[in-house]
Amino acid sequence: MTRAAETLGLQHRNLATVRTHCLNIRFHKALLLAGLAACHVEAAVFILKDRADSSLSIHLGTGGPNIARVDFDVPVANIGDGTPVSGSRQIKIQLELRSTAARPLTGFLTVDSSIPLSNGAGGTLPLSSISWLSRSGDIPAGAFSGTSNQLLATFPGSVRIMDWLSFTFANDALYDPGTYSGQITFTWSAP
Amino acid sequence: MKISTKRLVILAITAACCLPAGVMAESNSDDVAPYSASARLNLQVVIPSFLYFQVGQTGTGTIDTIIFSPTAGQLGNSSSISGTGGNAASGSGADVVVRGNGGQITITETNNGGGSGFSGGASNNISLSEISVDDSANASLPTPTLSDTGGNTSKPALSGASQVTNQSSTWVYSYNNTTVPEAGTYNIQLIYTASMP
Repeated sequence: MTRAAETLGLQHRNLATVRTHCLNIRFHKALLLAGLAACHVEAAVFILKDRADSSLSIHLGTGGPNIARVDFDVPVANIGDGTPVSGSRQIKIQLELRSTAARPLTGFLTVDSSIPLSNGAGGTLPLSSISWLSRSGDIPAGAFSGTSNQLLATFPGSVRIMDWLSFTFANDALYDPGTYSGQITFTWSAP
Repeated sequence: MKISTKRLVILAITAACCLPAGVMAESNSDDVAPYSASARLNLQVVIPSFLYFQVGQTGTGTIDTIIFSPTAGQLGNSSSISGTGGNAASGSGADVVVRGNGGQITITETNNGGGSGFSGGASNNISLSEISVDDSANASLPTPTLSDTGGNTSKPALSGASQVTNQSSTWVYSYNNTTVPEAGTYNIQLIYTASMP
Protein backbone atom coordinates (compact mmCIF):
# COMPACT_ATOMS: atom_id res chain seq x y z
CA MET A 1 0.00 0.00 0.00
CA THR A 2 2.71 2.21 0.89
CA ARG A 3 4.50 1.38 -2.24
CA ALA A 4 1.33 1.90 -4.17
CA ALA A 5 0.70 5.06 -2.42
CA GLU A 6 4.20 6.05 -2.95
CA THR A 7 3.87 5.11 -6.53
CA LEU A 8 0.71 7.04 -6.79
CA GLY A 9 2.30 9.87 -5.08
CA LEU A 10 5.19 9.61 -7.38
CA GLN A 11 2.86 9.61 -10.30
CA HIS A 12 1.21 12.68 -9.08
CA ARG A 13 4.52 14.29 -8.67
CA ASN A 14 5.55 13.11 -12.02
CA LEU A 15 2.42 14.51 -13.54
CA ALA A 16 3.15 17.84 -11.98
CA THR A 17 6.76 17.50 -12.88
CA VAL A 18 6.03 16.33 -16.36
CA ARG A 19 3.62 19.15 -16.91
CA THR A 20 6.43 21.47 -16.29
CA HIS A 21 8.65 19.46 -18.51
CA CYS A 22 6.00 19.41 -21.17
CA LEU A 23 6.28 23.12 -21.31
CA ASN A 24 9.98 22.73 -21.85
CA ILE A 25 9.66 19.69 -24.01
CA ARG A 26 11.54 21.15 -26.95
CA PHE A 27 14.64 21.68 -24.86
CA HIS A 28 15.18 18.42 -22.98
CA LYS A 29 15.62 15.39 -25.15
CA ALA A 30 16.15 12.96 -22.28
CA LEU A 31 12.81 13.73 -20.70
CA LEU A 32 10.93 13.90 -23.94
CA LEU A 33 9.47 10.45 -24.26
CA ALA A 34 8.58 10.17 -20.57
CA GLY A 35 7.03 13.57 -20.72
CA LEU A 36 4.90 12.66 -23.69
CA ALA A 37 3.59 9.52 -22.07
CA ALA A 38 2.68 11.16 -18.80
CA CYS A 39 1.17 14.27 -20.30
CA HIS A 40 -0.79 12.37 -22.90
CA VAL A 41 0.36 14.81 -25.56
CA GLU A 42 -0.92 13.17 -28.69
CA ALA A 43 -1.32 16.02 -31.10
CA ALA A 44 2.34 16.78 -31.78
CA VAL A 45 5.43 14.70 -32.33
CA PHE A 46 8.83 16.22 -31.89
CA ILE A 47 11.85 14.54 -33.37
CA LEU A 48 15.20 15.57 -32.07
CA LYS A 49 18.53 14.29 -33.22
CA ASP A 50 21.86 14.47 -31.57
CA ARG A 51 23.30 16.21 -34.65
CA ALA A 52 21.74 18.64 -37.13
CA ASP A 53 21.90 18.12 -40.88
CA SER A 54 23.44 20.78 -43.08
CA SER A 55 21.04 22.66 -45.26
CA LEU A 56 20.41 26.02 -46.84
CA SER A 57 17.47 28.02 -48.06
CA ILE A 58 16.78 31.21 -49.99
CA HIS A 59 13.65 33.33 -49.94
CA LEU A 60 13.08 36.25 -52.30
CA GLY A 61 10.17 38.62 -52.02
CA THR A 62 7.16 38.77 -49.70
CA GLY A 63 3.64 37.50 -49.96
CA GLY A 64 1.89 35.31 -52.47
CA PRO A 65 3.07 32.41 -54.56
CA ASN A 66 4.16 34.48 -57.56
CA ILE A 67 7.67 35.57 -58.41
CA ALA A 68 8.24 39.12 -57.20
CA ARG A 69 8.60 41.88 -59.79
CA VAL A 70 10.23 45.30 -59.71
CA ASP A 71 9.00 47.93 -62.19
CA PHE A 72 10.79 51.02 -63.50
CA ASP A 73 8.59 53.65 -65.18
CA VAL A 74 10.77 56.20 -66.99
CA PRO A 75 9.17 59.68 -67.09
CA VAL A 76 8.83 61.16 -70.58
CA ALA A 77 10.66 64.31 -69.52
CA ASN A 78 13.70 62.33 -68.43
CA ILE A 79 14.08 59.61 -71.04
CA GLY A 80 17.71 58.75 -71.42
CA ASP A 81 19.01 61.88 -69.70
CA GLY A 82 20.78 60.10 -66.85
CA THR A 83 18.17 60.81 -64.18
CA PRO A 84 18.02 57.56 -62.17
CA VAL A 85 14.66 55.83 -61.95
CA SER A 86 13.87 54.01 -58.69
CA GLY A 87 12.25 50.59 -58.68
CA SER A 88 8.63 50.22 -57.64
CA ARG A 89 9.34 48.23 -54.47
CA GLN A 90 12.04 46.91 -52.20
CA ILE A 91 12.68 43.19 -52.30
CA LYS A 92 13.24 41.17 -49.15
CA ILE A 93 15.92 38.51 -49.36
CA GLN A 94 16.41 35.85 -46.71
CA LEU A 95 19.29 33.40 -46.64
CA GLU A 96 19.83 30.56 -44.20
CA LEU A 97 22.75 28.21 -43.99
CA ARG A 98 23.07 25.51 -41.38
CA SER A 99 26.37 23.75 -41.15
CA THR A 100 27.93 21.48 -38.56
CA ALA A 101 31.11 21.97 -36.63
CA ALA A 102 32.44 18.80 -38.18
CA ARG A 103 31.88 20.14 -41.67
CA PRO A 104 31.74 23.93 -41.69
CA LEU A 105 30.31 25.47 -44.81
CA THR A 106 30.51 28.86 -46.47
CA GLY A 107 27.57 30.19 -48.41
CA PHE A 108 27.99 31.98 -51.72
CA LEU A 109 25.30 34.30 -53.05
CA THR A 110 25.48 34.77 -56.81
CA VAL A 111 23.20 36.21 -59.46
CA ASP A 112 22.61 35.44 -63.12
CA SER A 113 21.84 38.60 -65.12
CA SER A 114 23.17 37.34 -68.45
CA ILE A 115 19.92 37.63 -70.40
CA PRO A 116 19.04 41.29 -71.14
CA LEU A 117 15.54 42.63 -70.79
CA SER A 118 13.55 42.45 -74.02
CA ASN A 119 10.66 44.46 -75.46
CA GLY A 120 9.51 41.56 -77.57
CA ALA A 121 10.22 43.45 -80.80
CA GLY A 122 13.94 42.92 -81.06
CA GLY A 123 14.92 45.67 -78.65
CA THR A 124 17.00 44.77 -75.62
CA LEU A 125 18.08 46.59 -72.50
CA PRO A 126 21.20 45.39 -70.66
CA LEU A 127 20.82 44.50 -66.99
CA SER A 128 24.09 46.30 -66.32
CA SER A 129 21.98 49.46 -66.26
CA ILE A 130 20.31 48.32 -63.02
CA SER A 131 21.95 48.63 -59.62
CA TRP A 132 20.89 48.06 -56.00
CA LEU A 133 21.39 49.22 -52.46
CA SER A 134 20.74 47.08 -49.40
CA ARG A 135 19.16 48.28 -46.20
CA SER A 136 21.35 46.51 -43.70
CA GLY A 137 24.47 46.33 -45.80
CA ASP A 138 24.86 42.58 -45.36
CA ILE A 139 24.66 42.28 -49.12
CA PRO A 140 27.02 44.90 -50.58
CA ALA A 141 25.56 47.47 -52.96
CA GLY A 142 26.38 46.98 -56.62
CA ALA A 143 25.17 46.72 -60.18
CA PHE A 144 24.34 43.70 -62.27
CA SER A 145 27.27 42.72 -64.45
CA GLY A 146 25.26 41.03 -67.18
CA THR A 147 27.04 37.75 -66.52
CA SER A 148 25.72 34.37 -65.45
CA ASN A 149 27.60 33.92 -62.18
CA GLN A 150 28.21 37.25 -60.48
CA LEU A 151 29.35 36.84 -56.86
CA LEU A 152 27.48 39.19 -54.54
CA ALA A 153 28.49 38.03 -51.05
CA THR A 154 29.84 35.14 -48.98
CA PHE A 155 28.81 34.17 -45.46
CA PRO A 156 30.31 31.48 -43.24
CA GLY A 157 27.74 29.09 -41.81
CA SER A 158 25.70 28.72 -39.81
CA VAL A 159 24.11 32.03 -40.68
CA ARG A 160 20.78 33.67 -41.20
CA ILE A 161 20.69 36.81 -43.34
CA MET A 162 17.70 39.07 -43.91
CA ASP A 163 18.06 42.18 -46.02
CA TRP A 164 16.02 44.50 -48.24
CA LEU A 165 17.21 45.44 -51.74
CA SER A 166 16.31 48.72 -53.48
CA PHE A 167 16.87 48.79 -57.24
CA THR A 168 17.64 51.73 -59.57
CA PHE A 169 17.62 52.01 -63.36
CA ALA A 170 20.43 54.26 -64.64
CA ASN A 171 18.39 55.71 -67.54
CA ASP A 172 21.58 56.97 -69.22
CA ALA A 173 20.85 55.83 -72.77
CA LEU A 174 18.06 56.00 -75.31
CA TYR A 175 16.10 52.88 -76.18
CA ASP A 176 13.26 52.08 -78.52
CA PRO A 177 9.94 52.57 -76.77
CA GLY A 178 8.25 49.64 -75.13
CA THR A 179 8.06 47.47 -72.06
CA TYR A 180 11.31 45.64 -71.43
CA SER A 181 10.88 42.53 -69.29
CA GLY A 182 13.15 39.83 -68.01
CA GLN A 183 14.22 37.75 -65.09
CA ILE A 184 17.30 37.36 -62.92
CA THR A 185 18.13 34.39 -60.73
CA PHE A 186 19.77 34.55 -57.31
CA THR A 187 21.56 31.38 -56.26
CA TRP A 188 22.58 30.58 -52.70
CA SER A 189 25.06 27.71 -52.58
CA ALA A 190 27.52 25.99 -50.28
CA PRO A 191 29.70 23.73 -52.37
CA MET B 1 1.40 33.11 -16.23
CA LYS B 2 1.31 29.39 -16.49
CA ILE B 3 0.09 27.81 -19.69
CA SER B 4 -1.36 24.32 -19.56
CA THR B 5 0.06 21.73 -21.81
CA LYS B 6 -3.13 21.15 -23.66
CA ARG B 7 -3.59 24.77 -24.48
CA LEU B 8 -0.06 25.10 -25.64
CA VAL B 9 -0.43 22.22 -28.04
CA ILE B 10 -3.67 23.58 -29.42
CA LEU B 11 -2.05 26.90 -30.01
CA ALA B 12 0.81 25.22 -31.80
CA ILE B 13 -1.49 23.27 -34.06
CA THR B 14 -3.61 26.32 -34.78
CA ALA B 15 -0.54 28.32 -35.66
CA ALA B 16 0.69 25.60 -37.97
CA CYS B 17 -2.64 25.46 -39.76
CA CYS B 18 -2.64 29.21 -40.29
CA LEU B 19 0.74 29.36 -42.01
CA PRO B 20 0.39 30.13 -45.75
CA ALA B 21 0.06 26.99 -47.75
CA GLY B 22 3.09 26.65 -49.93
CA VAL B 23 5.78 29.33 -50.19
CA MET B 24 5.68 33.13 -50.41
CA ALA B 25 7.19 34.67 -53.55
CA GLU B 26 10.11 32.44 -54.54
CA SER B 27 11.67 30.16 -51.93
CA ASN B 28 13.83 27.11 -52.26
CA SER B 29 15.97 24.97 -50.00
CA ASP B 30 18.46 22.14 -50.25
CA ASP B 31 19.66 19.64 -47.66
CA VAL B 32 21.79 17.41 -49.90
CA ALA B 33 25.41 18.25 -50.60
CA PRO B 34 26.54 20.12 -52.62
CA TYR B 35 23.97 22.59 -51.39
CA SER B 36 22.37 25.02 -53.83
CA ALA B 37 19.03 26.79 -54.03
CA SER B 38 17.82 29.53 -56.38
CA ALA B 39 15.12 32.18 -56.41
CA ARG B 40 14.03 34.39 -59.28
CA LEU B 41 13.11 38.05 -59.57
CA ASN B 42 11.27 39.67 -62.48
CA LEU B 43 12.29 43.10 -63.71
CA GLN B 44 10.37 45.43 -66.03
CA VAL B 45 11.39 48.79 -67.50
CA VAL B 46 8.75 50.87 -69.31
CA ILE B 47 10.12 53.39 -71.82
CA PRO B 48 7.61 55.67 -73.56
CA SER B 49 7.97 57.20 -77.00
CA PHE B 50 9.25 60.77 -77.06
CA LEU B 51 10.59 63.56 -79.30
CA TYR B 52 12.80 66.44 -78.19
CA PHE B 53 13.85 69.28 -80.50
CA GLN B 54 15.86 72.39 -79.69
CA VAL B 55 17.11 75.24 -81.89
CA GLY B 56 18.98 77.93 -80.00
CA GLN B 57 18.97 78.23 -76.22
CA THR B 58 16.82 75.98 -74.09
CA GLY B 59 13.52 77.07 -72.62
CA THR B 60 9.97 76.95 -73.84
CA GLY B 61 8.95 80.14 -75.57
CA THR B 62 12.53 81.44 -75.76
CA ILE B 63 13.32 82.57 -79.32
CA ASP B 64 16.85 83.65 -80.16
CA THR B 65 17.38 86.54 -82.54
CA ILE B 66 20.46 86.66 -84.77
CA ILE B 67 21.19 90.15 -86.11
CA PHE B 68 23.22 90.88 -89.23
CA SER B 69 24.51 94.45 -89.49
CA PRO B 70 26.60 95.07 -92.62
CA THR B 71 28.43 98.38 -92.62
CA ALA B 72 27.86 100.92 -95.29
CA GLY B 73 31.19 99.97 -96.79
CA GLN B 74 30.28 96.30 -96.89
CA LEU B 75 26.79 96.63 -98.24
CA GLY B 76 26.27 94.60 -101.40
CA ASN B 77 29.92 93.58 -101.86
CA SER B 78 29.17 89.86 -101.29
CA SER B 79 31.33 89.70 -98.21
CA SER B 80 29.80 87.22 -95.77
CA ILE B 81 28.41 88.94 -92.70
CA SER B 82 28.33 87.09 -89.37
CA GLY B 83 25.55 87.67 -86.92
CA THR B 84 25.21 88.45 -83.24
CA GLY B 85 22.69 87.41 -80.65
CA GLY B 86 22.66 83.69 -81.22
CA ASN B 87 23.56 81.28 -78.44
CA ALA B 88 26.47 79.71 -80.31
CA ALA B 89 29.35 80.45 -82.71
CA SER B 90 30.02 83.84 -81.13
CA GLY B 91 26.43 84.84 -81.66
CA SER B 92 26.09 83.79 -85.28
CA GLY B 93 24.85 80.30 -84.58
CA ALA B 94 22.27 78.20 -82.79
CA ASP B 95 22.72 74.98 -80.89
CA VAL B 96 20.50 72.28 -82.34
CA VAL B 97 19.49 69.10 -80.54
CA VAL B 98 17.11 66.44 -81.78
CA ARG B 99 16.36 63.28 -79.80
CA GLY B 100 13.65 60.70 -80.18
CA ASN B 101 12.95 57.01 -80.17
CA GLY B 102 10.03 56.55 -82.54
CA GLY B 103 11.73 56.18 -85.88
CA GLN B 104 13.02 58.52 -88.61
CA ILE B 105 12.66 62.18 -87.71
CA THR B 106 12.05 64.81 -90.40
CA ILE B 107 12.90 68.49 -89.89
CA THR B 108 10.90 70.94 -92.02
CA GLU B 109 11.70 74.64 -92.45
CA THR B 110 9.18 77.38 -92.92
CA ASN B 111 8.88 81.05 -91.91
CA ASN B 112 6.49 83.90 -91.30
CA GLY B 113 7.54 85.89 -94.33
CA GLY B 114 4.51 84.96 -96.36
CA GLY B 115 6.69 83.74 -99.20
CA SER B 116 8.55 87.05 -99.54
CA GLY B 117 11.50 86.50 -97.24
CA PHE B 118 12.64 89.20 -94.80
CA SER B 119 10.14 92.02 -94.50
CA GLY B 120 11.33 95.59 -94.09
CA GLY B 121 7.97 97.22 -94.30
CA ALA B 122 5.96 98.31 -97.34
CA SER B 123 7.33 96.33 -100.29
CA ASN B 124 10.87 96.00 -99.03
CA ASN B 125 11.97 92.40 -98.81
CA ILE B 126 15.16 90.41 -98.68
CA SER B 127 14.99 86.84 -99.90
CA LEU B 128 16.07 84.04 -97.60
CA SER B 129 18.45 83.02 -100.33
CA GLU B 130 20.67 85.73 -98.82
CA ILE B 131 21.10 83.55 -95.70
CA SER B 132 23.58 80.66 -95.64
CA VAL B 133 23.61 78.01 -92.95
CA ASP B 134 26.78 76.07 -92.15
CA ASP B 135 25.84 72.66 -90.66
CA SER B 136 29.26 71.03 -91.02
CA ALA B 137 29.63 70.60 -87.25
CA ASN B 138 27.69 67.34 -87.52
CA ALA B 139 26.98 65.74 -90.86
CA SER B 140 24.37 63.53 -89.18
CA LEU B 141 22.22 66.56 -88.38
CA PRO B 142 21.89 68.52 -91.65
CA THR B 143 19.85 71.69 -91.86
CA PRO B 144 17.01 71.97 -94.35
CA THR B 145 17.74 74.56 -97.03
CA LEU B 146 16.02 77.83 -96.19
CA SER B 147 13.47 79.09 -98.72
CA ASP B 148 11.00 81.95 -98.91
CA THR B 149 8.10 79.58 -99.40
CA GLY B 150 9.25 77.01 -96.85
CA GLY B 151 8.77 73.26 -96.97
CA ASN B 152 12.29 71.98 -97.45
CA THR B 153 13.27 69.07 -95.22
CA SER B 154 16.25 67.28 -93.78
CA LYS B 155 16.58 63.98 -91.91
CA PRO B 156 18.90 63.48 -88.95
CA ALA B 157 20.60 60.13 -88.86
CA LEU B 158 19.21 57.30 -86.76
CA SER B 159 21.40 55.46 -84.27
CA GLY B 160 22.17 52.18 -85.97
CA ALA B 161 19.31 49.76 -86.53
CA SER B 162 17.21 51.14 -83.71
CA GLN B 163 14.46 53.74 -83.79
CA VAL B 164 16.58 56.10 -81.74
CA THR B 165 17.84 59.52 -82.88
CA ASN B 166 20.29 61.37 -80.70
CA GLN B 167 22.00 64.17 -82.60
CA SER B 168 23.30 67.60 -81.73
CA SER B 169 25.08 70.28 -83.72
CA THR B 170 25.58 73.99 -84.20
CA TRP B 171 24.05 75.66 -87.23
CA VAL B 172 25.95 78.84 -88.12
CA TYR B 173 24.07 81.55 -90.02
CA SER B 174 25.62 84.23 -92.23
CA TYR B 175 24.26 86.98 -94.47
CA ASN B 176 25.49 86.62 -98.06
CA ASN B 177 25.26 90.38 -98.73
CA THR B 178 24.91 90.11 -102.52
CA THR B 179 22.30 92.85 -102.91
CA VAL B 180 21.84 96.44 -101.80
CA PRO B 181 18.41 96.65 -100.15
CA GLU B 182 16.77 99.83 -99.10
CA ALA B 183 17.85 101.09 -95.72
CA GLY B 184 15.88 99.68 -92.84
CA THR B 185 15.43 96.78 -90.46
CA TYR B 186 14.27 93.55 -92.03
CA ASN B 187 12.81 90.76 -89.90
CA ILE B 188 11.80 87.18 -90.37
CA GLN B 189 11.09 84.29 -88.04
CA LEU B 190 12.35 80.88 -89.09
CA ILE B 191 10.24 77.95 -87.96
CA TYR B 192 11.78 74.49 -87.80
CA THR B 193 9.44 71.58 -87.14
CA ALA B 194 10.65 68.10 -86.18
CA SER B 195 8.20 65.27 -86.75
CA MET B 196 8.40 61.59 -85.92
CA PRO B 197 6.11 58.69 -86.94
